[in-house]
Amino acid sequence: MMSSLLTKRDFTIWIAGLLALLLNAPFSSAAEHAYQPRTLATVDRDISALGLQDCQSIQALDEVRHLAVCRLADAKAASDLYLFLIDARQTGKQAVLFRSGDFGDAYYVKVAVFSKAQGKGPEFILAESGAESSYGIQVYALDGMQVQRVGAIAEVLNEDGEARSVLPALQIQGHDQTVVFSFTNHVMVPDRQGHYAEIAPEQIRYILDGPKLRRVTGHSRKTR
Amino acid sequence: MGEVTWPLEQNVIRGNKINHTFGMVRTNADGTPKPHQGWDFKAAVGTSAYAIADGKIEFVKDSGAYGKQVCLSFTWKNQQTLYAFYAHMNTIQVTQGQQVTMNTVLGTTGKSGNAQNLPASEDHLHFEIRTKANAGLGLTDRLSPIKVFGKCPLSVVQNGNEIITF
Repeated sequence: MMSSLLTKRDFTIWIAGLLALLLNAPFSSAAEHAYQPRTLATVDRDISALGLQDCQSIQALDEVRHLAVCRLADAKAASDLYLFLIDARQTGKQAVLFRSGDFGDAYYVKVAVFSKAQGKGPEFILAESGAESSYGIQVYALDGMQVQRVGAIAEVLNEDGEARSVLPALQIQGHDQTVVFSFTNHVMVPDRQGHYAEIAPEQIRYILDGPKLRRVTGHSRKTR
Repeated sequence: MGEVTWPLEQNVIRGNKINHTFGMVRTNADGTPKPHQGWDFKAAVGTSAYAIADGKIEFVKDSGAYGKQVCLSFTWKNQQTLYAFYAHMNTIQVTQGQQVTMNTVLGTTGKSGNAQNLPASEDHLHFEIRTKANAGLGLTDRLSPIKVFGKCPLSVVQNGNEIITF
């Protein structure tokens, strides 16, 4: 019956559309749980008493919690960069509530915080780092005064011939006990030999349904 | 060296660390290796940078992670066209299409682009050898500069002896 109503091409498109709908069902049915980037106020304060220096950013999550990207003051050589959660009410080293692992050879770390537009639940701190090219994003769950690293997103965008932050193409959506990190555009996947392959947005996502992010990919991949 | 010369008067790898040479020598926050597309030569802001060979200025740009950039095309071993790429510059004294000779001052080193975030002790010239002027991401379309220079100005001390690494 259907074949009499639809051409073969129409049928193919219809099947492809149905598959896309099914694959994206967890996202579209949970639109009310979309995470949005928060606007963070820049904080102008001296935190050298906390043992930190060369801060690239200090931002206020609220009146009591500050996020900072700094180097350690007591390092012998130029320290690597770290992400800190700071209790703004305290002044000594005890004010540091969380210190990330070092960001290796990164020249910069840029921090964004995503929270649910509605409802309660952990927020996500996304720390994008890099040097001449983006190294991807470290993902942390923030729940009150607690920060826990949940994983990393290695993908980058190919813009103007440079590997740049994937953040502009990242969307985060919650669905029951699952949070899905997906992309709105083609992204570049790094390999361990220093090269990149392009992957379509529907072929990759990260799922947080436990303590760590899981990377889930499809099958088709095009080498560029 | 013959066809090429060094880009600075004093050519030392930044911090004398292998992390600032070519290849998968960089480390990410989670410990995964990351590419470094060229060599970082230690250079205070304002240091003169020179053309490493006779050639043509393919482009001059000021954008993105590299900041102020110069790309010089030159003929390598009388057969292959390669591109010397200088980044994080402070000033650029040449223009696109200009023919230059070896040792022409291209400009001065700086900390433009993402190098602006580094402490002064890490000031450097980011220098690449490319096989295409507009190279791909990561190590794509790039060679280790050691292919052109024949040696790497990186020394390490082991058991009290300085060893030049290649």
